[in-house]
Amino acid sequence: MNRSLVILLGTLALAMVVFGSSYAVSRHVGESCLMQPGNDLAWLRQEFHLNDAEMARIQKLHSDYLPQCAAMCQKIAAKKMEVEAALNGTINVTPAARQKLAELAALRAQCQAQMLRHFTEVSQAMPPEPGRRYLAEMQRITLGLHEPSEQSMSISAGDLHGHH
Amino acid sequence: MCYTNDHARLQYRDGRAAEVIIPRLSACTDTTKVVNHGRRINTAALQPMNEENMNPADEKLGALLRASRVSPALPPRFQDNVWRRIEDAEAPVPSTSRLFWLDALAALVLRPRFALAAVTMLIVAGALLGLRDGSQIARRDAQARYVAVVAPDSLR
Repeated sequence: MNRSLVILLGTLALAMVVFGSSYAVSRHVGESCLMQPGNDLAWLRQEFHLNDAEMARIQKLHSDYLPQCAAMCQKIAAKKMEVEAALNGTINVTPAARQKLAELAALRAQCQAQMLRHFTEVSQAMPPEPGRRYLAEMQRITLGLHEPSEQSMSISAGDLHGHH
Repeated sequence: MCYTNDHARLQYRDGRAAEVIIPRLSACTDTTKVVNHGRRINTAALQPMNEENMNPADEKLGALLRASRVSPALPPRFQDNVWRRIEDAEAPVPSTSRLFWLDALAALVLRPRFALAAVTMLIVAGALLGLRDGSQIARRDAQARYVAVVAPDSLR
């Protein structure tokens, strides 16, 4: 094999090792430096560049909201078990099961409304522009709002219906 | 015509012919030299003393030399092999430029200043890219943690 080719291939392998090592170490360092385990609100401070006063207000809102959220989650979990019991052993959706499903949906809607109220309060504790951005981002993540997926699905379903 | 010399006839591939005559020690006066394209050059004039200087001892010596001269048979496909070697020698080497660039690149890579600059650049590029990706991963993880706390999976 040509000596120059061996040198170039060896250099290429060495370059890949150097680059890969540097990348892996830096990624690990960057990840561990920015990660703040135990602080659930770290993302808000990093993403929306909040100061200590804003973070203190948001921390209080967050602390008030968590017990309400936990209570609502317990109610939803209990209602899910009721729905499961109503559906157990039947091949049709009985009126009792339908009633339980409606109650579960109402609880979820109540919980979502409470969650959205909390997001609104948090956004109001922020400066206007980050607040708007936060609200839009949370609605997108939790409710799927501001996403074109359902719109595109409804369009494709309309096409499908048109064909049939 | 007296052929007391060694004759060889080469046939060019384009149809030309050449005859090569190698003079021997001989009493024959019709001495010729290399002939090209059918032209024969008489070199008898260049050897005016051959006949006059011949004596019985020289004739014996000549006979002995002729007898001792070994003319081995040419190996098979000798002429083809000769032409092939000539063509190989005259043919351009196709990989010369590639080899040249490989050698030049290898020489460049082995220069300490270039190697140091390249290693530094690779380390810096890897570090920047790694820090960027690491911060993005940390940001995604932090966001996921916050969302998991404020919006349980049952609501999404």
